[in-house]
Amino acid sequence: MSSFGPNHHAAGSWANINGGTSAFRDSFNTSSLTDHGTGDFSVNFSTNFSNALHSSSGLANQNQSTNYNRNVSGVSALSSSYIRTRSCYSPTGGLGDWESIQIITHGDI
Amino acid sequence: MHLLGRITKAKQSLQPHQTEYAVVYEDVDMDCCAVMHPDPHAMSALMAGGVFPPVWVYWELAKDEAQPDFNRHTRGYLLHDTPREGPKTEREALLYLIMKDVPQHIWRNYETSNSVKMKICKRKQLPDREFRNAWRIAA
Repeated sequence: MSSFGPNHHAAGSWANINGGTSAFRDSFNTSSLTDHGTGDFSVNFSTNFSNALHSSSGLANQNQSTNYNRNVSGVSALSSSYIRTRSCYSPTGGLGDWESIQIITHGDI
Repeated sequence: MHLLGRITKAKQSLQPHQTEYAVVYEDVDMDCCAVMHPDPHAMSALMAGGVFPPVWVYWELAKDEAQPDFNRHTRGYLLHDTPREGPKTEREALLYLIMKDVPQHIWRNYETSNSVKMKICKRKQLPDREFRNAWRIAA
């Protein structure tokens, strides 16, 4: 965008999602979550980023246990208004709806 | 005020509104239907009014982004400076998010198209996720 917010270096958007129920636990600058199938979802932003070249990272966990092999990986589509990504089981790459998924996106707003 | 600033202020001052509704949609090129779940903070901001711009602003930005020579948005002022939407009912807020986040070809004329492309339903009506990738909208 031509005008930037005051917190240019803060996360432009973040979301803590329950993948099992497709529900937000908490979030910032998100308007909705789109569930495209098992472990396949989009986070839609309320305020667009300047372009699709924002940077996202994610974590995933299941059952609050020592299952360290769940992750959020791969971006299958993105634009200035959303990011579509997947939550996986690391050993096999199989998709799963993990109970806790966290997505953070930085970029110019 | 910048839209992000308005969203920050709304989150600090409004209780999130968890709607009981979800929007199910599908198209011929989709393996299974998609389900859109509104964000509780966005719902409360829309219902309070004075935060979000008119939904056409997002359509304009999407048009810009679809141009082959698009590099970065130059009309972000539309988000920040366009007169804001007033208070909405829960239904109106849900319709706003449909028009913002569901592809236009799905929701335009969805009530009169030959096939059912979209349904607004209660979240509790959704089946469990055991066969999630086989979900289709029943006519």
